[in-house]
Amino acid sequence: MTDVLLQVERLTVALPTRSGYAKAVDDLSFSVDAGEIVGIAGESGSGKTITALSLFGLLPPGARVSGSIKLDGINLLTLSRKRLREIRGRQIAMVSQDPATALHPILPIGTQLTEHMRYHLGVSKSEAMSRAAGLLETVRIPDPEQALRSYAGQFSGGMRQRIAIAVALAAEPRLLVADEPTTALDVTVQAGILRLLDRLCRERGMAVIVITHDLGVMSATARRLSVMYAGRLAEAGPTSQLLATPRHPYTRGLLDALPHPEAGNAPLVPIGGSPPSLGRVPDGCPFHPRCKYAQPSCATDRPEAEPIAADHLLACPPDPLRVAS
Amino acid sequence: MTETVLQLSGIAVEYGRRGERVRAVDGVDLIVGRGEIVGLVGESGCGKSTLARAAVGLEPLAAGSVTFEGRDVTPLGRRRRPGYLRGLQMVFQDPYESLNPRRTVGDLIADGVRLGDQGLDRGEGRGGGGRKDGLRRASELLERVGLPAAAVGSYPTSRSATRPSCLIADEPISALDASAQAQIANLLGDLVDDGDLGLVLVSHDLSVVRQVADRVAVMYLGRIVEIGATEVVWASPQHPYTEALVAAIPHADGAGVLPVDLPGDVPDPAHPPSGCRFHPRCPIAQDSCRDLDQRLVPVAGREIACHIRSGSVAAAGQPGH
Repeated sequence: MTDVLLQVERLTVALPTRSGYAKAVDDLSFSVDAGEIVGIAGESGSGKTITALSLFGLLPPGARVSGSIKLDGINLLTLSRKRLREIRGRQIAMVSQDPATALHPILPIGTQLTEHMRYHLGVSKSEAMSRAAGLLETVRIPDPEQALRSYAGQFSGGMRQRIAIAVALAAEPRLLVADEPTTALDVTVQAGILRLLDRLCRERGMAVIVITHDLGVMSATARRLSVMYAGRLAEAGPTSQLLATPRHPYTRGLLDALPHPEAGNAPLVPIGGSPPSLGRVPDGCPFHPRCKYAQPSCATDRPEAEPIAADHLLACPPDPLRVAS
Repeated sequence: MTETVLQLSGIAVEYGRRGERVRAVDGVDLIVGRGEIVGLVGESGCGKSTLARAAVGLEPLAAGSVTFEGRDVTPLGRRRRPGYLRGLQMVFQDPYESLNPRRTVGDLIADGVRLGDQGLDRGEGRGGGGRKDGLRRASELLERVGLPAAAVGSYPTSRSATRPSCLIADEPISALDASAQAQIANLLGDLVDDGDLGLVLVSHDLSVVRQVADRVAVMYLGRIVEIGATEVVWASPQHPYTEALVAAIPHADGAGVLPVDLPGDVPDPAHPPSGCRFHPRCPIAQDSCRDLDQRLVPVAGREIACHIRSGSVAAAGQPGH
């Protein structure tokens, strides 16, 4: 039996728009075990980043949140700002997509790395500095001592992202939320960062939520995967199962849109249309206007995620991709 | 061999940085045929964007020449760009920066259409028609790029075209979602097929390039290290750098295999390593790689610049400069 570190239940986030509140995340549930990498996949606008921000209490002003987000059984949504600040950085930390803006441009890297170490762990300045150098070594920054005195602008994009990861790791969090951590990077640098995250999980027992639209990245790292569409869960289960035999037409569509390494020069198959924007989510199954298997009931009945196998949830009652047995 | 639309011969691009001369592109030859897509891949900092800008005349050349349909592409000064170059167009990297956020998508595209038509219809007065014609063609173009024609009235995020005969597209796809990537990749393929145009697709993502490009050129630190037919290069990369790029791509097969890491970063082009520029990161480097400059030689149906893999002394010589 593994330990559940994070348990998100029926999370719903409504954001104010010009025409009233719109649900950016709608009834989402998932869990993360200690030391595990889980993935949240979906196109832009699927609600994956809003989900991440809600873990940190960093939602835009006016957002309405319901459901629960429990870290070790403590509901983060009901904590005071002060208690939340103690947990942020210390227990859960975030790496965002853009390494250019994640680091402060005019503070030396060393200051940024030691700031939360000293705040959260109460270590001395010299102790913090030597730990910071160790962290930079962990993320493979050459010449860590020199790097501590340098500024963000002096590093390449790949190195900045590795430094941003080091900053997130500074207070030894138990859960790292990585929102598109490698999207802006070269594949070679991406490979290095994915291997780093994997190693940190194995060596430190840290859990990671990887948020990305890149199913290749998911396949390489995440043990379990949740696929989101228009703020709702479409399908969730073990990554190997989801990618080998997807059951939701949307998961299938995402896979078909990818260049397949072994396929010839066959044209890619995009999913027709675009994802709905906030506040314009269709009735019924949000994916039905783009789904080639859609039935009349899909336009009216909102599908719930139902278990179809051990640890496999599917929000598609017609289940057209079920293999007849 | 099809008719050549764009030819780069031994081009070099330099810029100054804190008193140093930095050679971002160093002796590149590249030919683009009509109806052909040439992929140009490499890590950031390898000079591929600089090469792309030089190819459309946005960067002065330190050496070599660029010809478009047999005519010289002279780098832009403050002078007006000559009309015959209207057929040579660039699609820039950042869709948010390349579009004016305060004008509608329709107006933006129509601008290009009107200018392009002026080029084609020269001799018949202003040609090209007015705003209305432009907007009509803009709707057609939007539908081709997979956006609803109604987007003409809304505000940006898309790209445009002017019936060019050669397009240079710098990372047109990489910031998009998978499904949108597939749409654009297919669109580029279609454009080339029916427009009879040549296309240089610049990307750091080899898997995208592989899907659409007929030929692919792999760049490292200002030089091409491997070039050949895409399927040949993809199926059995010969240069160790190409191998590393292919091995670093994660596969969405659910197998849970971590991609292979290539340690290190692209070196500073102001101080390129001696000999083969890849040798400090190369898993098969030998002592000789430090001293010998590499040249492209044919190996297994493509050209590579690696004297270890080609087993050829012709691939290497004493440093030229």
